[in-house]
Amino acid sequence: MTTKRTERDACERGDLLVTVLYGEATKAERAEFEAHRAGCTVCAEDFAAFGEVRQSLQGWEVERVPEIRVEIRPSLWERVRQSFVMLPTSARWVAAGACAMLLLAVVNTDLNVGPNGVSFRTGLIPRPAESSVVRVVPNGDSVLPTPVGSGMAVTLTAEQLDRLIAERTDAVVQAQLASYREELDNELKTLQVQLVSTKSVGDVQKLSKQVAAQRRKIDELQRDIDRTAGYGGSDLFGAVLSSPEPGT
Amino acid sequence: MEITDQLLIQRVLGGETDAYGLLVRRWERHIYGLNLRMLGHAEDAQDATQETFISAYTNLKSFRGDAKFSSWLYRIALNVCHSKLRRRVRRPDASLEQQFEDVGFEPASTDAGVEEQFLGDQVSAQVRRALGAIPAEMRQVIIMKEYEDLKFHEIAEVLDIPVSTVKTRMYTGLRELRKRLEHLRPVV
Ligand SMILES: [Zn+2]
Repeated sequence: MTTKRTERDACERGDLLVTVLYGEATKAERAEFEAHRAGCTVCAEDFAAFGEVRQSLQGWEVERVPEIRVEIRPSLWERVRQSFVMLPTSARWVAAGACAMLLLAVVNTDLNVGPNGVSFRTGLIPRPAESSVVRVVPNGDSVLPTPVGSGMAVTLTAEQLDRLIAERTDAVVQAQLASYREELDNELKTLQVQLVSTKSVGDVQKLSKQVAAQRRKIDELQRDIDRTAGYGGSDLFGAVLSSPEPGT
Repeated sequence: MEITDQLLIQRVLGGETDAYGLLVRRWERHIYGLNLRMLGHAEDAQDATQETFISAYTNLKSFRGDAKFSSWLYRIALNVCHSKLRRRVRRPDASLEQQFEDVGFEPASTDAGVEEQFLGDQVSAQVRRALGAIPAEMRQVIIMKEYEDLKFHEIAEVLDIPVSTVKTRMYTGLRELRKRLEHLRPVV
């Protein structure tokens, strides 16, 4: 037979009880509680019953932790810096130009943050000619409809804006790396021409070494070009271009 | 030797985004467990865990090293849970307790046709119900103590309340659970 328990049953030394129950009491506190419990039926009962409650609680185990997906979108500047850090020292001077361009692009853009996302005017994306559709990505797989007929303003979500900027950075970095590559190729050709026309054995050896070194330099750069290809759409830049919600 | 949370945080703040993945792996089990027991529902707990880690990442700069990273994470997780619980309360069709019970079972347990009802499952289901039925402010203290093994002063730090308040909530919460688990114990 159990008695109906009410709030009044609670003992004011409950805090001492739980301190002892969870093994956080000092020796003096334990002694104090033992003395109290001897004369307090509420605490004596609670102390015994709480042991069972705790045992029951341990019956709820977490068998399996599901996959926890945390998609991190680094800030724009973190992204630029990351892409910059990934470049070899020899190519950084090239990328510095891309960063400057990016800064200019952002500064020159009239940005407005509103309930529908971020809207901005020109500067970042090519102006639509007569079409009511703005092509964002050169290969044409991402297309944003313009909300107004003028074709001057485009409303983008922050994600879309991020993506645009990332792609633009990517394109600029890629273009500059490619032109750097061209430069190195031309230097190589010059060396090869010299090698063919040279007569002295010493010069041949020296030029051969230079040609080999130049080839290694080009290979290295090409690896970087390959590695950095697709920065804009890569997981490094994580953002996903979502389809525009209103009216679609 | 294991890299400390603090060091990983510094790396993340220094631009090494990947280091955050290590922090997530390190704490996801704890945060998920906390959320699951707060919300009583696996899917909600998964959502809440993801939200917790995203929020922590976004606010990482504001994390001051004077508290433990885990305490800070627990606090964020509880905030996420409370806002989810508030949203549930706003649903007009059922009481919070009812909702916790409704969502607190895995589908198999509610299926009357399932023969294999293990004792362990039943205890677990009772505990879910009982925990879901007590106020969230008591529930969170009990969860951090029983399942996360935090000291009373650590719980106080997470909740930013006096240790004495933590102990009072613990005591009151255990008494509430005792009442409910006694009533629910005809399992043989
Ligand atoms: Zn007492």
